[in-house]
Amino acid sequence: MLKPLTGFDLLRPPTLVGALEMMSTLDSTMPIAGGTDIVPTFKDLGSKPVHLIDLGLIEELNGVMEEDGKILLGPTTTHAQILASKLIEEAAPALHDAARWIGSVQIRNRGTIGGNLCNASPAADSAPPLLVHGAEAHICSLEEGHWIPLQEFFKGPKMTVLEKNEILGGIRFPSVKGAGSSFQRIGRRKGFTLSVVNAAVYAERDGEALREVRIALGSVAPTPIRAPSVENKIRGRKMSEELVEEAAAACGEVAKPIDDVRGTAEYRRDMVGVLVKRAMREAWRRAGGEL
Amino acid sequence: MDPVDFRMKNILRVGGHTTCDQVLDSSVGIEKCLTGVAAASEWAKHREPVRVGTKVRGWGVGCAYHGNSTSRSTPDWSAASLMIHEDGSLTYRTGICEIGQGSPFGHAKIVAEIIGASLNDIRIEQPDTDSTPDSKPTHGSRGLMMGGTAAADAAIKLRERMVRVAADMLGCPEAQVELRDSQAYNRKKPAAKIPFAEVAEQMHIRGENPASYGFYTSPQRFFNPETGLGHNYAVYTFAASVAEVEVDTETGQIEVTKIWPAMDVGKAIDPLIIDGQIHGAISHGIGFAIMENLQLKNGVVTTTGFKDYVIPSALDTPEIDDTIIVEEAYKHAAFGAKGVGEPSILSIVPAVVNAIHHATGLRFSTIPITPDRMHKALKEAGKC
Amino acid sequence: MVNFQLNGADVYFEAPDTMTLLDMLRVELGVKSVKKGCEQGECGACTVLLDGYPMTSCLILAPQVEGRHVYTIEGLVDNPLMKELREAFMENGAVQCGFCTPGMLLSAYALLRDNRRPTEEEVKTAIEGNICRCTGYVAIIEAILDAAERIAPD
Repeated sequence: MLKPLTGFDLLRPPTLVGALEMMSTLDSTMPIAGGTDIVPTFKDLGSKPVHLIDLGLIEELNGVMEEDGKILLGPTTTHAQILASKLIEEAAPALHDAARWIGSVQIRNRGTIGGNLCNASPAADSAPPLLVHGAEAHICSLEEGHWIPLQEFFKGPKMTVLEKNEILGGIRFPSVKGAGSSFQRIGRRKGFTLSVVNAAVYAERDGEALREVRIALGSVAPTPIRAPSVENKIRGRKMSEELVEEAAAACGEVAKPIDDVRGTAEYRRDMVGVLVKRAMREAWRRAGGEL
Repeated sequence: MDPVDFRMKNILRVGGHTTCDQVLDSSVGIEKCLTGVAAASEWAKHREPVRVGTKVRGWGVGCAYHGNSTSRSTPDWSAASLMIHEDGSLTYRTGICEIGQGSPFGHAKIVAEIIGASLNDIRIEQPDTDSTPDSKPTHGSRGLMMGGTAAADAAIKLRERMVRVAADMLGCPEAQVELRDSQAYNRKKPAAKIPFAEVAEQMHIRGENPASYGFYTSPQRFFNPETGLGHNYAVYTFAASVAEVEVDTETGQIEVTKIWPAMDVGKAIDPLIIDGQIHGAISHGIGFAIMENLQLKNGVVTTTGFKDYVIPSALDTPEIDDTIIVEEAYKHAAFGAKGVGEPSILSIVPAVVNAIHHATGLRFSTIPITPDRMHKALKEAGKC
Repeated sequence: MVNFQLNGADVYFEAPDTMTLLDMLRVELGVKSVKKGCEQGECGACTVLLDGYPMTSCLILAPQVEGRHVYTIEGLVDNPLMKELREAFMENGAVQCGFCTPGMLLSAYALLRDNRRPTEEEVKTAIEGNICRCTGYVAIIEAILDAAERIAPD
């Protein structure tokens, strides 16, 4: 007999202000949306009781839209909504790729992009695509909200910079015509599974050169990371298989993975290179390039 | 030497001795299973691995045999009961449990075949420890082989009485009585059919026993526990499979793309049910070979839940060729039927592991062959 | 107090915040088709349709279905598409122990409702979140394709 859930109550504010007020005034709060990551964690006794603040009724936190050349994602937007969005498929194909591989139909119908990011697993599949698209995270509280680069949002494994009275209010990234991106991952079976290692690449093309390139790696550090040293090495150069090999090797140097129940550090370090190669080639192709 | 040829030289045949020095005097279908899957998979055309981009495709064969019912000559038996009601329907009782495998349904088919009843007229009663005959456990690949033979015994006994009464009602010798589709008729005058309800009514009037108790005990065997030699199992189910796999040499990920399965089932009582077992076992075998890994740390399981104890999903299902059903009847069981449930997984795992060897040249002696293990082996062999 | 629609009927139930939708349905309201498997959203045995979308009820807190529509197979008994699926499942041998079956049927139902002629790959993706250990999925996939054929013949 599995233990029933314990240690929380559930508050369901209909407005954003209401939710933020609760988070500012109540002791020990935690936002919840789809709950796919956090509901099972309440089986273990011992942690301090929390007030779960359900963000699901707040309409303004849900949806995908384009405004002033930027794509805006509400934090309670589900992976299913992202997968179905033609806007995302065109503007951020890497994010579309990742949405397909997050969970099953059932999980995608419930799990949210905000939840995926706030859970802050180093293996979070939505992180590398957003990182390479230069995404920013909206830190929202009763005070004036502010945007920070997404790479500053993650503090450590399962830790974000959100203070107790703050929520992730949204994600935004620029919509760049002609840019290509790709997400690649290694799983332990073809069916849905947590990524052993993942990566994304973003490319803007200027003829045969990489006008802009961004690389993000997951599961090879305490948080999802960009690889600026590698990006700087290859930015502006003519795209070629040799360049792809060079980037892949350099990423292997940058990666600092650990052994865990899902995979060995050695394997992750080796795979980071393979995934970056595949992502680079596909991002380049999607940007209209040929190799 | 070619793996199939090697096996052909070493497989058991009728008259052969097992590792326990048991002489198999009948019901040895491994040769037909092996030649069957070799032909179906066009084995001879796939003797070299094939490169497909970063992947390499290989083919492997596996053979297996699995004892039915008890080992080391431990006596085994099973009981069942059958009765015909005045409306011509029958109630069948067995202690073999329906857990989705379809074994009691197989018993009903055996009864239907012997008694000549329509399957729809046979009701299989839910087992009740108070009133159901003890068929002994539902395990050990014995549900159909042992339980079904007890069913056959019950059916044969009841049939005898039904035929006697029907012969009298039809005015013909017992040898001419045909029982079919819940009707009795004279084979030589088939137009005049008597429904079972009338036969049952007459049995009631005449005081003919409408119920029977079936009992089957496996033949006596001898096994020496000191030496480990003798008759281990009463009969064995044989199986062979060929697996086709693709190994991504860059990532070590393995995909089982196709399986060709074959099994000597003695007698196929229900092919759909056999396929159900074989397909389930293929999925489970793939899990064993490349995914499932129960890990412990200081005696505590660390792979709790399906997140980390990875089993195949629908997306991991390979293409599966039609099951080659071989029928080398077991002379002591109803219609020759042998068990299918457990044996079906045994040849899958070696076929997959051998296919990985064919594709990569690398042998593994432990499973699962997860991507990181595969990749490490390829790396160390300089193959990626 | 949770007010919601269950299989087309209004339900009012005093569910504590810590109760999952799975427990409310199966344990409290007697909806036995919804099964407890892993209670982590991995196996799909607890799948229900929430506002028409398949979701694992073990991860949903009971109060979160306030004002919403929940469907299980009990509520789709007379639905023509579900009837075809049931027939197809039975005829193709897609049911062995039956534990995964309600979840499979709901996932298949949601697929065929929105995609009348899915490819084999689309069928597998639709049931990716429903684990089966008995059938190896083959008969289930064939049953779903069979049902699709019958509801939308070429």
